[in-house]
Amino acid sequence: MTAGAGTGRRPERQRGRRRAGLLPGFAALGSGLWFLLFFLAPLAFVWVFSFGRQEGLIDIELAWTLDNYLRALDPLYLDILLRSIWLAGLTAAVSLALGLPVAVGIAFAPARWKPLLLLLVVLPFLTNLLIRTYALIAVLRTKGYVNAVLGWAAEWLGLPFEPLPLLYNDAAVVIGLVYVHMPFMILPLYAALERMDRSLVEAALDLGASRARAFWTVVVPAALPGVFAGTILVFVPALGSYLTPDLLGGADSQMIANVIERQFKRANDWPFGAALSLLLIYAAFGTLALRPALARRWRGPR
Amino acid sequence: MTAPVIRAAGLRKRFGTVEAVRDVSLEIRAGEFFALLGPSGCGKTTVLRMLAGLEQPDAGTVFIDGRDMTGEPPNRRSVNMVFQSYALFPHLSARDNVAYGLRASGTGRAEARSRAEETLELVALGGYGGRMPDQLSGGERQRVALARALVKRPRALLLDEPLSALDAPLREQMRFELVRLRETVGIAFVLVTHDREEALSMADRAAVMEGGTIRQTAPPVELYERPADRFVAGFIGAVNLIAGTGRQVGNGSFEIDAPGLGVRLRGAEAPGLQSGCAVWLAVRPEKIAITRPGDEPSGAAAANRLAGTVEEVSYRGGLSIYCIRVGPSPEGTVRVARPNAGSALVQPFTVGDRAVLTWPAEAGTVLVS
Repeated sequence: MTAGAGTGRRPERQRGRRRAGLLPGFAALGSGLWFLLFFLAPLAFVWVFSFGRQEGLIDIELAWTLDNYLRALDPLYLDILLRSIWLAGLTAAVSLALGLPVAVGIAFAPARWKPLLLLLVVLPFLTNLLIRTYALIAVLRTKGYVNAVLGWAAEWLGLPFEPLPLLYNDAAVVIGLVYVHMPFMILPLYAALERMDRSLVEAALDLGASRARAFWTVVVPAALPGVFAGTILVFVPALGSYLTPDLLGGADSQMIANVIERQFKRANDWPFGAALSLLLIYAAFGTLALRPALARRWRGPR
Repeated sequence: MTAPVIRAAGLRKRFGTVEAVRDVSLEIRAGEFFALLGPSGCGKTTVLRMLAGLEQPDAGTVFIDGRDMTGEPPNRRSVNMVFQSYALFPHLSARDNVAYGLRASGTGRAEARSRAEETLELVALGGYGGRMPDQLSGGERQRVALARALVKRPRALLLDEPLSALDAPLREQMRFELVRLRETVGIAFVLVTHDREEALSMADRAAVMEGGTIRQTAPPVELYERPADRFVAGFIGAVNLIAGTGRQVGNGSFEIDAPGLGVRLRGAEAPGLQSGCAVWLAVRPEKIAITRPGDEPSGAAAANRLAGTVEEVSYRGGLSIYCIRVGPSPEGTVRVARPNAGSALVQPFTVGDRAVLTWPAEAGTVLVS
């Protein structure tokens, strides 16, 4: 190529680069607008409402008061918030305990089985949450499938049987939340394990470790990034879940989202509902902030 | 003679429809450097993994220290492995990586740590104990992997392509270090490699594998000088293979009628050769003398003589490779390697020159397969 051709082409190339530079800009602007209109703006309204006072049926007076937050600290609501954290934490823990063996199983399965197994994990997502929750009611209720199977088993063994109260209590809520959120635990765990060098396990066995020791000292540490990600991905949405405790929970197993819903609807106290919502958001943000800190700590000294 | 450290008899392994290993038997003697050499896919790594217990053979037995270890899991075998990827535990420091095997077999934390430090010093990594694997260079990781496998004082160290992940100068250096390390620790090393130079330069004995079987087990010199078949001859180094019909002549050598060349050649007599069978004469390029017509040596040094035309000259620095056409058939060329002892600026032979090739009878090996 001659020098002349090179200089002749350069401005064109520069224009092309500028055009290419604008395109992501437009894309960012589009998503930025979307984010602004449908996320930040409503959130800003809620934030403003949380300092307001309900006047009459529909009017909200912007009083810039902290009354709503103070009311949220009332033991009645604080109790529900703490219980929500407890139930969400329990959900994350149970999901981890059940999800880790599943993730290990998929990660170590023959390659041709993996796509099918992963599909099975996400299959429940293809059905509406409401329908899945009603299906759980059919499974858990007094004359549901679980009690029916247990009843047959007891009869066969000649044991007395009293149907287990599986529905409308905290246990039902945790079962429902675990069922709904399990894929969020399994997928990050699987991703972490899939990245692990398989010869690490072989090296552990070769160095004299038992299978159990190899699992705890090699597989689990390799899964840790997935454990953190999965726990947070389960905990945060479980903390704000509304449908599951509403349908599966009893009178006293409501979670914070149920209280918030009631403020916006039946109680018609938007400012207080807004304050509770923001507290929930802060709790979720706090949890998310834990992740990098945890990850740094567990990566060991640099 | 001492009993072998590892003895494998009749090992077979099939993966799906692929017969990876077919009837492999070998013996590894105490303290020797043994190489399993072969092209990729020849089953050498599978053999190593069966010795380690990471793979169970479909048939055959593995004895370690005279005890039948077939079917025993890897953690019950007194051999340790260095993995191709090193397989260092990424969440453990170099010291904890090395101490892992000791901790797994119940050694106390303090003793495991001090022995780990000692072993790191053995591989010239003293003071590196606190580093994490991702803070180490490729060569340092390799040493940590060696220390980790050596710390339990195994009866044999199994090395799966340990140098393949290193760049060339480092690889060269690690070869010497591995040999030195083996002399220091005095245990048997079993090295799997596809690199013939690696095997030739390090091993006391090597087994050449192909297609799931061992073709020949011998010291490197013997593999090079007296290969058992055409595969070994070609895999171990460049070789000229001249096809013909064999004839016993009874004075310690063997005659070959090479119809493609229209001459009779002599090779070293080998047991099992019979008159009238199809044979190949294998001659290494550097064993052939190339001279101008009339200058050729006489006597035993010229037991074999071929005349031809220089067809190609390939300069390789320390030596030059000449392709000499000695017969009309496509196979009728012979490769000759000649060291560039004097100045190579003026090549003694150029394309089109007439040349005479001579070599003594014992320079060629007669192969029947």
